[in-house]
Amino acid sequence: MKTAKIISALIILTLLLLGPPFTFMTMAAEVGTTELSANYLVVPGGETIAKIKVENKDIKLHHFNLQATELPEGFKAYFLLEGKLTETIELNPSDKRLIELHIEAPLKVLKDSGTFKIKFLREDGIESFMPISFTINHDFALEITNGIKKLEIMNGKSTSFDIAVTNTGNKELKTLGLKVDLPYKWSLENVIPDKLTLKPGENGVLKVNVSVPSTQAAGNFVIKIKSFNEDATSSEISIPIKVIASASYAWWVIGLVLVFGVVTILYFRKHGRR
Amino acid sequence: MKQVFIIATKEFKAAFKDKVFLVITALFLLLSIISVYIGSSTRNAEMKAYQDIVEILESQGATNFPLSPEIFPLAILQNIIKYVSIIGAVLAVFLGFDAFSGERENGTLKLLLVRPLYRDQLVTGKLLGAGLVIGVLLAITLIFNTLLFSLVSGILPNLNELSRLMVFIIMAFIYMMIFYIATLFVSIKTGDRAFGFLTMMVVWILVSFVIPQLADSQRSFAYALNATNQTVTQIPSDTVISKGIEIFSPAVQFQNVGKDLLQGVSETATMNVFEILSRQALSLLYILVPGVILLFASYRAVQKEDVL
Amino acid sequence: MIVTEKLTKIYGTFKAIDDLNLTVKEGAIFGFLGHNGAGKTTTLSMLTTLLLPTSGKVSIAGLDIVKDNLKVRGLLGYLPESVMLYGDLTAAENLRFFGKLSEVEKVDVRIDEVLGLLGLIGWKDKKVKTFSKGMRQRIGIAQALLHKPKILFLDEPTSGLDPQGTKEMRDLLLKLNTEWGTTIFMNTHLLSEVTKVCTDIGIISHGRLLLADSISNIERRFPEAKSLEEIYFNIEGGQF
Repeated sequence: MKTAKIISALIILTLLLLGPPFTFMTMAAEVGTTELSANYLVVPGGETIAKIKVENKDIKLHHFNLQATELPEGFKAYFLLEGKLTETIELNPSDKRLIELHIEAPLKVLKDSGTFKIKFLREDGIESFMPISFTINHDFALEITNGIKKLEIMNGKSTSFDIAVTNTGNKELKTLGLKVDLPYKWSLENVIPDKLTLKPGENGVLKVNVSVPSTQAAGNFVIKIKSFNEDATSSEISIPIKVIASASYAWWVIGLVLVFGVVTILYFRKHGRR
Repeated sequence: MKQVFIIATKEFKAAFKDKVFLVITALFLLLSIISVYIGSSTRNAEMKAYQDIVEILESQGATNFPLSPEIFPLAILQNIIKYVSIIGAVLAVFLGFDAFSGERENGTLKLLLVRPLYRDQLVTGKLLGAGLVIGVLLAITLIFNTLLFSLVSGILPNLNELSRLMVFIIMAFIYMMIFYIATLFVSIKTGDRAFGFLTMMVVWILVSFVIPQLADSQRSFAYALNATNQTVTQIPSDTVISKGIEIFSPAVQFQNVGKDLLQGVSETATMNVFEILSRQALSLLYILVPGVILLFASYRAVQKEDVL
Repeated sequence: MIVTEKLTKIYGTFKAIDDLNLTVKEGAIFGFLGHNGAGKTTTLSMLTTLLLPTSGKVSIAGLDIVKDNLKVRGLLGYLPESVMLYGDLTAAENLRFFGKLSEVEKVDVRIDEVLGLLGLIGWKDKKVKTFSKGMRQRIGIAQALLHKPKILFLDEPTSGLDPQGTKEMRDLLLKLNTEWGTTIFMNTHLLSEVTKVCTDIGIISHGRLLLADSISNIERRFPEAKSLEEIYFNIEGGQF
């Protein structure tokens, strides 16, 4: 009896000593979505945002690496926390944070539905997974392409380029427009036509006219464009534009040097060469 | 004119007797060798990463593969741009900080100024001497790097690549001379060697670090998904403010021109040298102008009595 | 040899040299005396073309120091008050550099001549930073003599020298003057040296020239004075 008691005490002591790490390993992080269902409707060529709630139920601070795994071919996913791109998240005990999972679907998808997982890898190697399932919405799908790889323009001038839009969904898309993000002080003169209606499978072309201010210094800039209506949004394309400064800047600079040169020569003439 | 060469020869010999200068020169050469190694390792790593991704995609049954990354031969030498813009500038400052203030403290400045030579000839002689030192250093760097580049990459540079390298070295020479001229001007104006050196160190920090970082903070960024690595990359976009700030940093201008010349920018990697120079004409001006203005100012400053 | 006409130097509102009219004959050893801050170094700096006069004229050997500054510099040798030279170079290397700048022909032969004259031939290949103060003064004189100047300007040449060094400097100056015919213009505030070396003196005070004449003439003009020192102090004090 005495021996049994001693052995039991030893076992309990061992468990007490070893137990805590094991006990706290479980339920260390809880993840869930803010949606009623974790199934997302994804438009081909479009982007869907899922809001994921992450909670640290442990008593210690933890770092988590976030990774989307088992993504179907062509799918891309990334995480944004408070608007900033991130691959990690740090949570204090009992802390809850909301991260945005951005899912981009390719224009051509092989299956109409699927699943992938979000892996949460803790700094001590503990992993948690959250399944995300999606269904492709073929009703409204929009593809946008631009014909030119790169533009070059002189400051103070205007330029135009074509954007091709294709309705890759099953339903008609009405009043399609363009959202054009321009660098500071650039202006969008017009988009012709202003709005477009496309039947399923139909292509359309929108001509974008942009003007660059004369004060724009030479450099590399990016114009971001996406097509949208109330039903669908296309992916965003970035068009690099190289601005070449007109020669007027160079003349100003050369003029400055000449002024200094003349002042120096006059100085030498007045005071002589010592 | 003969006196200019006499002064230049003395400056050239004196530079290679200065232990601190020799240490910085050795560091500069060592870093240029390391830059070739880093460049080639980076290139090999990129190729390997691409091959690994292709293998993974193949194993997943993919039939479409991302395009192989474009790597140009001279891009192996990219890191040398940073070393020249940072350490090359420090070297030029070390050459010039006591050009006049040291002579003044030594008492030799008066001995020079009572010689039958014009004061501007003294400035020209110092400039020529420093130019010889910097020229020799960069020539050694060019030969070293060209040989290393051929050894490591297994490619002999073609005419376009050689001409790009030559022009890059000339640009590096101009850049370092700009720093030397600025230091010479400060040395003429300040009475104390240490103060002159500190002033130029502050200028170096501003030009090499503060202004570029300030310009960077004013850029806007677009995001693009990188198909190869499955990562999101930032595409920096210049703004009026960022470009305006960069004008005040010859280091940034030099780095921009250097990247084009050493095939760091894919759009200009296959252009000929003259096209690159005409595209970067404004950057070249922004590098040259402070130096030319300070040179005029130095010639004027040395005529004044407070140079003593 | 040296003629100044209404030589003036003004710094802002301060008149450092006021209307200086001075003549130094060829072959003279001219001692320029004055208290600290009297204007001796400023005058010397103008005569050696280091400073520009605010107004007035200076001619050295008939050449204007402003218009013909390069030619004037070819004629003069200059030793400033304290000179270090290039410490990391040897005596010969220092002299070769300055000699070439002064367009000395056969500069190495000339270096040996000058170092021999100054008793430094054994130190030719030693670095100047190892030299004592007296030796550095002598090397300083050597660089001033390389191109056989017609006129030598010295600023406090015996400053910091021990008695032996002072005597050697004095003997050297006398030798240069008698054997080479070099005109010497020297700033000093040591009356004892002036009486032993100089043929002529000038006294300056607060930028104004109080007196300039040969020592013999001065002694004749002030027969009641017991010494040159008494004359100096009385002139400075306004008593003469």
